[in-house]
Amino acid sequence: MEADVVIVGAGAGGAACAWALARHGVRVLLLESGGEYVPARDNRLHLADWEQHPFPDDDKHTLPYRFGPLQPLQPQWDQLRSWSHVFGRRAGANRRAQKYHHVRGVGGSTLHFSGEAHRLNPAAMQMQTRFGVAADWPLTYEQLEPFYVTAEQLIGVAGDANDSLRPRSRDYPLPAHVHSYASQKIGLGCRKLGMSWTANPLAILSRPWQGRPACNYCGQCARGCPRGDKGTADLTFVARAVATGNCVLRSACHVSGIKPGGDDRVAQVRWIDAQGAEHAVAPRVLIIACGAVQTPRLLLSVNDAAAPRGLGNESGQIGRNFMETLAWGSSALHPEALGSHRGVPADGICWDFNAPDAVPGVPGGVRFNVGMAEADLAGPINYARRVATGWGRTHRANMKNSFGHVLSVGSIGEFLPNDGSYIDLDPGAPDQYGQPVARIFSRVDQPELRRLDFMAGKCREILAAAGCDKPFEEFGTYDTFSATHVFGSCRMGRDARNSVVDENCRSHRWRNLYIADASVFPSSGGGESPSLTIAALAIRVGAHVRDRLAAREL
Amino acid sequence: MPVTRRRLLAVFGSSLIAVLAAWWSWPRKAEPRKVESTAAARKEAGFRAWIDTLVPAEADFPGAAALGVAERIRELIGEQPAYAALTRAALEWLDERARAQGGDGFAALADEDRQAIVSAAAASAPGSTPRTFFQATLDDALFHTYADERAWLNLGYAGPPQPIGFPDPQRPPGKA
Repeated sequence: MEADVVIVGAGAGGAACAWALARHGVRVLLLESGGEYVPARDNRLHLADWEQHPFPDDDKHTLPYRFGPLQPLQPQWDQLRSWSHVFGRRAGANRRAQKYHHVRGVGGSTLHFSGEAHRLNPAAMQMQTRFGVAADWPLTYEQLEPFYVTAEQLIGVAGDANDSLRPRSRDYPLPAHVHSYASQKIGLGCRKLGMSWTANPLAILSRPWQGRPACNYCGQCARGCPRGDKGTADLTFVARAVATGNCVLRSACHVSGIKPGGDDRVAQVRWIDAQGAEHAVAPRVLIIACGAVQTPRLLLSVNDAAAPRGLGNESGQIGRNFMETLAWGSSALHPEALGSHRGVPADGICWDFNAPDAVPGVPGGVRFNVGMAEADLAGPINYARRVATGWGRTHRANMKNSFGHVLSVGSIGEFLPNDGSYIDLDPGAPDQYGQPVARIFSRVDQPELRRLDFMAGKCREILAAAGCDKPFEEFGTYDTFSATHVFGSCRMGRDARNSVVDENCRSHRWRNLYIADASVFPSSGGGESPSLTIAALAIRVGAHVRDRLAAREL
Repeated sequence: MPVTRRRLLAVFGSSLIAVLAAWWSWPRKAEPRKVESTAAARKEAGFRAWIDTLVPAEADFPGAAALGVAERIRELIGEQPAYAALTRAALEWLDERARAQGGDGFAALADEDRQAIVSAAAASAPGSTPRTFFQATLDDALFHTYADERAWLNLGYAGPPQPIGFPDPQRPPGKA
């Protein structure tokens, strides 16, 4: 099989990079360990038992990983423990490892994301210079901005151009979604507190766009979109890349080895297909895009005399600076029947505390958003189990009185890197291909706890101002590792001593090795969802590689 | 979010299995097969009645039993040894309570007597057999009952989410 560029991973980064190369005539081989998402087979939202079926989460749809020991919980932060009026406070003396949410498949985690399409706040890209924490991005927002525009146009982002924090050179391609009736109530609460409430930019079509239909507001993006109105990477970047005739997609193909050569170049990549046959190719360029857990695993698992600490790990930084999702969510009942299960999952957002100096007393920003769908409080089963109390006829009466009344406010905040949060290779049993499994170490430090405390307090304030009762359920990542967004395990930077790749996401050591996923992020941002930034960065990587190939430098 | 049954069973867990294993293996006097089958049938009827009491039928609601929920939970119990052990112990407890109230098993009791026993289970000590059984079976019963659209009447829910979605979500419900 001939290819100029081999890309490993067909999620937001790998897919966007494949498109950016293939559209300019570069021959791309896109390898994806998982399969393709087929709504007719994989989606159950049209059935009565839909709530019993989250997005497929079996071995076929996820990659294995394990956890190192997590930290003990401290009484002074008890107000940040997860709890529910039905199940009580989460038990246990130590932080619990719940899940690294990801999807192994063509489209990656965009298949189950809620569609948020955020640009980074430029101020959050200079955390080292401004606050002496994390690291600065080695490129500016202005350098990234044209690639944001390209990604937004390709994906079909619906948004409101009035965002003073993030300058734009072009409007969103689609108008913002209207706020649902429930979102309007949260907005009312925010305004009472002097906070803003704006349209959340979403990779969900507010109008028909380029052959795809508009959203019909079922609110279940996290269970997979059966219509194709959500801008998942398979429907947008991969489909367009393949349509050029220059990109070959190979799904269910698991990379089994990478061999460095003797001339500062990666010499070979090997993979095993669905039938178990092994293949190999010598690419001009190899781009890894497996996310902040699997990319370091793949690089660290390279065992070669030319790369004794793992491929590209001359600095010892692969796996370090891992950042996870710092999240909080509070849910409460509103006296009015709001039909709050309707609408896109997060149509409203408050950016007032997104700047890295906006939260009192601690660097790093946060945002607030509508959270019912994210809390999975949008269907009868979850109302029955988690909202309505009692049993027998009392429970049924409570169901009738509560359905559609729930308001949830969610918050995501900056997670600063620390030396207790990293990825390494688990010494235990290997995976089905005989390769080491990734191991996640996580520690939530004082700055994160102070930020989380602020987030929890504001969520409660917003609900109260919106007219709700006291919360009946709260969930936070202080006592539970539950990360949808992970970053930073292969940091980009200008100094080869403390980073893995340069400002073009190229390995400091291997000149034809690139990384195009969130593992290169030097900082997490103040609650922005990362998929749009991953895509923009990956398109930029594609442009850089294309230029170097054209100049015969690779 | 809390995974209730798994969490409850983990707490209840291995100590119960050990106690039950010892109890079951303790030599007992052989009893006639007919009596055994009668007892088993009584307990099975008690299990169905228990589920029916947790999620009873109403004028606009079929209740768990009519939706086949007891059978589904029985299948689930059969797949999980810890849940099966919990259920055996709980049905013994139910039988004893029913006898104490003068009935030949839980199913034979009047509705108010059944409710009194369920209330006692719900109010018993955290981690105890009746409390754990109550929590686990209630959660499972709700999980399966509300997966049937016949249970959605008068809730204000026009699901499932697809293929129609929920048009006009910006309007108050019922005015779309």
